Amino acid sequence: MTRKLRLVIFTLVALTLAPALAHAKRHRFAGPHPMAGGAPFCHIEVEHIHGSGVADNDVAFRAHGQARVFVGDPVAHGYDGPKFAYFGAHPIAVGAFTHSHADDDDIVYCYLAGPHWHVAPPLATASATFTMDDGIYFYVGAFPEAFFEAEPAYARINVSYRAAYVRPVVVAPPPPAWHASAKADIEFAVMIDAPAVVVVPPSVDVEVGAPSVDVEVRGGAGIGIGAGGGVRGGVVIEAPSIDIRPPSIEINAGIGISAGGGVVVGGPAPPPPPRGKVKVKVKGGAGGKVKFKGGGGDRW
Amino acid sequence: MSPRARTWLLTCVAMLAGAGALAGCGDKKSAGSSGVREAWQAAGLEVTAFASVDGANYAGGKCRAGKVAGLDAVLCDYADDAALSRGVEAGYASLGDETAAVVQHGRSILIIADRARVDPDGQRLNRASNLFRGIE
Repeated sequence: MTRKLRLVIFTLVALTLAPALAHAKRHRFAGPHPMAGGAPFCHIEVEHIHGSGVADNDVAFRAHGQARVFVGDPVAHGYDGPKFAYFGAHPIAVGAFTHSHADDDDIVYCYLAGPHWHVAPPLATASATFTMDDGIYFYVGAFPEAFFEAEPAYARINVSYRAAYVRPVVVAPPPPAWHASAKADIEFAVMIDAPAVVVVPPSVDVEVGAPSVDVEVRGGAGIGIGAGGGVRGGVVIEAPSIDIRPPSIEINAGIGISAGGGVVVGGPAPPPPPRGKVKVKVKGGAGGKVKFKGGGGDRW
Repeated sequence: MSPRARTWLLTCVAMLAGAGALAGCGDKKSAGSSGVREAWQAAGLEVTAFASVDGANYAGGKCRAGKVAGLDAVLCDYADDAALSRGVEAGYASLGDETAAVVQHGRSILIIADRARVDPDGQRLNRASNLFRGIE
């Protein structure tokens, strides 16, 4: 092969591959999302592309066509725009984040336990399955089987958010219509009741019946959810510091205790997560309330 | 066909074409490309003049290019949905690795790109695209 011919072939190949290689660097997103390397949080709602500098946290993203949609907590990534408080796992219509009706029917799931933020409220069409209590959205609908199937993988997102950041302040127990369905939420709800509550699925009824319950969760890291032994799927709730006041809290967790062991906060590994709903009641007496606070001025 | 009949025929064809063009104008108004410059200006965004560009680069659309809020922007209108789909693809093909979007509204698209890296958090691009979509 002559040198000239080789040059021609090389040029043709380069010209053919150049556009493909250039496009290979693109990352397509739908809705706002964090960027990598300390770059500012991206506020673009409509589907868009970036060439580089994109956060690569798989458990915080879901597929949406050719794009990815961020379902984590934007505030943990420095977002300071309009935000809306949620409690526990819930579905997200992608259209809520992109403001595009074409995306309204694509439902993805957030597995964040406890109070957290998103950039948009639920769609008006989903209002029947959400209830707002004290400025916080609680999902009161049912989850499909696909939610539980993906839970072991996606619930790891809670590990990512172990570090302290300003979460929504919750000053009352979840509304009665809310049930902890996601495993992390079940553990979260149990953990905030008391450090030694034993909860056994599938029939759990934890009642904290005290004249005046005032639970404060403090600490710079707030309530951390970290990886570790104890819970199948690698997620365990760790409470750095829980102060429970007043001194006497009656906890009735005996209902449904049966074969299969139990979920013990800080204890050994629990059984597989229950399908369906696990009811966790937190009942306070007159003026009873549950507070979640972060230390050092970082309230969450 | 007599010369007179041919003249009438041509006149009719021209009128029909004109009617079609007017109908097209109506579509464009609802599509958001015709009034978007005014919407951007009203929202306080800096907008340059938009000059016609070769639509062949955008799958045969009727296109204009300029800048909004320091971002490169191309507005294209299409005659039908099939052409619009080709225009969206052509819009993406025209982009490099910069932060950018191809925003669709009606039978118009906005190709908007931050080639000068002036919008690190995407707020300008978000505002311009939302105004184009008519949701702000």
